[in-house]
Amino acid sequence: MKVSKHLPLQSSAWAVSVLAALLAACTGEVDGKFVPKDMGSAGSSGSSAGGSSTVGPEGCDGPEIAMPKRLIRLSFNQVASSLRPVFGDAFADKALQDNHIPPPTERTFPPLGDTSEGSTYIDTKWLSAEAIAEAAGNEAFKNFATMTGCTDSPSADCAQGFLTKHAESAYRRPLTDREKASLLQVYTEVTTAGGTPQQGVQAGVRAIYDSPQFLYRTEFGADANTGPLTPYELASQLSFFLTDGPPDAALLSAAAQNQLGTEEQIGAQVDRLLALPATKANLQNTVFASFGIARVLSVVIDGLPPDAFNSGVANSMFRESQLFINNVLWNGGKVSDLATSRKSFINKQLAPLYGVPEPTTGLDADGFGAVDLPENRSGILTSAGFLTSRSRPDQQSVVGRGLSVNDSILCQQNPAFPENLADQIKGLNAQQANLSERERATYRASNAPCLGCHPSFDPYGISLENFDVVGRFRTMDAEGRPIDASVTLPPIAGSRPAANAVEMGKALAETGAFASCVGTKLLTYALAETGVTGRSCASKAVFDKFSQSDQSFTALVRAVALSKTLTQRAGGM
Amino acid sequence: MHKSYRFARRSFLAGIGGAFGLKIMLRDFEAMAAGMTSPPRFLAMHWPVGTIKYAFLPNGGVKPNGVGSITQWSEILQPFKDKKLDGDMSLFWGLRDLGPTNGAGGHEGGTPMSATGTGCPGTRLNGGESDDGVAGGPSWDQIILNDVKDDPTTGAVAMTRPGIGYANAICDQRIDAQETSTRCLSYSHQTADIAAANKPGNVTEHVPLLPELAPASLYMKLFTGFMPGGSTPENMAAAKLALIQKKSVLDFCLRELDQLKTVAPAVEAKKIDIHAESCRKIEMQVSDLLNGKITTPSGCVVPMAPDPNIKGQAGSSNPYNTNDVPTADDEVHEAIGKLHAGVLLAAMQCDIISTATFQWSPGTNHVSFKGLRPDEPNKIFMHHPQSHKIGGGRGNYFDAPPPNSDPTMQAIVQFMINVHKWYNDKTADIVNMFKNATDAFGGNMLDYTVMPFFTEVAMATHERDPKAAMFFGGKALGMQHGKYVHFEDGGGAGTRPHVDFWATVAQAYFRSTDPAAYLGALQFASPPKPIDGMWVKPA
Repeated sequence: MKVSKHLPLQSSAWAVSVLAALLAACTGEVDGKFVPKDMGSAGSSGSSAGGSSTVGPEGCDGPEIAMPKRLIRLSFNQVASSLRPVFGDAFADKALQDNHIPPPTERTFPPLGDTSEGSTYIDTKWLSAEAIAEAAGNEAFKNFATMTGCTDSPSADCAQGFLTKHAESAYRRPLTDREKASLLQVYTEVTTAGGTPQQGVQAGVRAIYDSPQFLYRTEFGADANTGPLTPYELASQLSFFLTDGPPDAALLSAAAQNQLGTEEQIGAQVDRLLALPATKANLQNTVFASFGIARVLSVVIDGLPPDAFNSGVANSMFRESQLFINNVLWNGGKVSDLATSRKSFINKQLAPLYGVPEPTTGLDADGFGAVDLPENRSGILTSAGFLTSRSRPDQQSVVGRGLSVNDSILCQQNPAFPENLADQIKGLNAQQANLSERERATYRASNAPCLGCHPSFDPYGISLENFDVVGRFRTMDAEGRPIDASVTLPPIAGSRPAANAVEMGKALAETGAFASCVGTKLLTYALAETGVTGRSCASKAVFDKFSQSDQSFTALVRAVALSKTLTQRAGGM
Repeated sequence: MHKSYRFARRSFLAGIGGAFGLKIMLRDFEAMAAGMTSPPRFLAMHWPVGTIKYAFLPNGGVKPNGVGSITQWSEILQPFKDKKLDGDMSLFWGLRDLGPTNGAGGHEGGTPMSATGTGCPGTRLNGGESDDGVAGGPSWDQIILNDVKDDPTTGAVAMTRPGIGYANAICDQRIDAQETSTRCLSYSHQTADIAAANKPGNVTEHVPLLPELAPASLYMKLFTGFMPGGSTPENMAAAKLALIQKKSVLDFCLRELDQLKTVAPAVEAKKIDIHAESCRKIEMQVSDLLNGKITTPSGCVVPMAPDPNIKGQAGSSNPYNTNDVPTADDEVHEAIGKLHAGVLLAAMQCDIISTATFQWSPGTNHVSFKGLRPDEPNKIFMHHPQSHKIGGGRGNYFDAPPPNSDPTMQAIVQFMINVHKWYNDKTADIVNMFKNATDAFGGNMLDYTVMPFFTEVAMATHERDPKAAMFFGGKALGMQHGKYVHFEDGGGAGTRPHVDFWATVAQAYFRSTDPAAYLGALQFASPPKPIDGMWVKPA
């Protein structure tokens, strides 16, 4: 395994994370409505192993092997990914369309949290899965010779042999004798009732894609004790994490040969998969979705001329954020470059927004080219897509942006909106209508009940005050008052002074707070159903390993993929 | 209105050459239908964002706590009078939601609380806000579906049907911040543990039974298992083999789920049980079809599938302060509502389902309407975002209109009134679709269907009392019409738990003035007690 020796991140992100978490246990006043909140909660379906009350080493929460033995349903996209190589793109795309599954870039994070997914197959959701399975059976019937390799008058052996082999692929492991008999019973029942072998195969294929062995993946391990997943379970775990699809032949072969038992063996498979376009596409979509930038496509902004913000500009912001993230992830930079880099990719619509010349060379098919943004920019924090996606129709909102940074950039849990103070907040807003955002934040930082919560996120919003509702740089606010974006950052960002957004980005990068959050998000995504908090020992173990590496995105993916949190499950059935 | 969005009534096929269901082909339906009476049905409908009291309350009623009648119709309710439904409905005022919210928001808590009659045990972690309330009990459509059993002593008739037996539809799903609660009216008896947003760890929710957004999807879910062709011997044989294939597959699934349960951790048993129950319902339906046990009325004809491209919008954003928008939704919104209603009506006529929910849009909706704001007649505004412009404290501009000194607020409040009128006008059309339809047993669809119509909050400022509700239909089931009950006290508070509205309606199904006696261990925020005078047991 390749592990680069690098200096650990400058300070212990863990210590500040735990401190910040304690400070975040506030009760107080928050202005306005919220945007996305904390991305994960410790523990899982009744698990004692992942209980958040357990205090682990160095003040982190819970054990590193945070997850109990589990049963995880495939998302509809994973179902479609599994069917794609067998039945083709048109078939898989129709399955997604019929079930209203949004494209990967527009999914919620994590995907099973989406209302169209969920963790269970209940009634109409099961009917959706059944409809896909029925369609698969019909495809097998229509293309019988091509799919099975059997003749028009096939022997039972040929037809049944096809079904068994097909099931092994769908189940992502060999079948037990009992499973084989159970599946072939379907074929026999249909042909005994007068059905043709083709109709027997049709029913058999439908059964395969209706089966729990296909629709779920297990994380049971070899026995009831704490320990590793079985090789086939691990193959599925790694593959669905990295590619959002089933394990390929090489991974299944490694599982069959018990070649997924050591870090080196797993690492080799991770390195191989990381080179695949499907893996890159999936992981960059995951990171993109975790920042919630897709909201820019539906956000409503009032009061701007049509050319300043319209659907074309929104789409350009969306695309720029994608290209920016993809470049940082795969071109050898550090994860923290996401928070600091000024190298981005824009088109002619975004050039005036950023105040840079329109790129004219090296343009991609959509007219986007590489540029160095002005020195007042700092990575995703100041990207037009991120800033605009959090805007309210008439203002950029210090509180809204502060909460967004706290949550989606730093993985901290935002406090609940205090409904009991709603009238008081409205009254205060009316009273303070003529104050600057800084003056209002200063009031909140020094007066109860506001001061219970706002100091833990307002500074991020103030630091971004130099950017208007669509992310244009400005030095004066809407009333012509000069903007002072200097702040002292909350403890999670090292309690450092920051003169502006650029210094904030630098602080988030140097303390490790930003990279730690990206790692927590990746871990949450990999675990599929239940997230981990930023202060869990599961996240800490990933971060510790990452901080000893070259701190690239691929190193972070490796740290997640090789972590005990992913590869092992706590005992107890 | 775009012609293509119209529900093509003529596409309902009839006769031997039409699209026949397997059910129909496999039994002597004419004989089965003979002598049968129409079954009871239930369709819960919802309108978003409460109401404006001063434009909603009609004259009449007996205040407080009495049963009276409407003597003069109000501006908001007038569409029901205009569309001649005054003799098919009764009105409730002064309801309130009880039970803890545990951080659930106004619309986000109000929707599941109203639908279930109990509080929210917590909020759902969904990547959005932290106020997405989860259901603390099953919704009343599911209670009526699952808890009403055959009872010779009362004359109650079981509501379950072969298969799932219910359907849920919504016309537009755009919401604030990825919440489920505001776009779902139906919750299962089954529970699941999900990641909580309002506390570390999990919360136990009653599983949401999400509505279909596209009428074509609704159609597919309801009319699956029907296959084209007449009742020729070849078709009958093919249909029978198709059923055998399906039964074999479903038996296999159940076998494998049983096996999985023996090796899975105990904590995952609930997940497997939910899956198996969903599978079992269909397996039983197929078994009954094969055994000729299912009775389907002869009047059942399968409608043509709606255009799959016609569906409501979905998405998540919070444009609270936005002004006008470029595109109006009202024509498409109406068309989708009527398409959904047509599919639900046909499914009830075919006795595929006995209960359903119908939701126009979430309380946190973004549905836009043109020409409804009097100061800007050519502009288009979104419903829920406009409601947020009615600031101030509880009940601002609820009891009385804004002053003449504030013409903009007057226009905003009038916009809200006009949207409520719009929804009532289109809902009246849907109720009349039922009123103008008969089932195969000769019964009028409205007379055998109670259609409760409710909202998730009382008013634009998110309070949950005093709330309004009403019901239509169910005359043959004993529901009393032309009534107006008023439970607001002198301090402006609703005094009657919302669950009592459901209990009132439930009498028609349990055929008892004490439906709570049949609800076993189900827990509510207060014991469900029917409101007097709204139901008389039919002979």
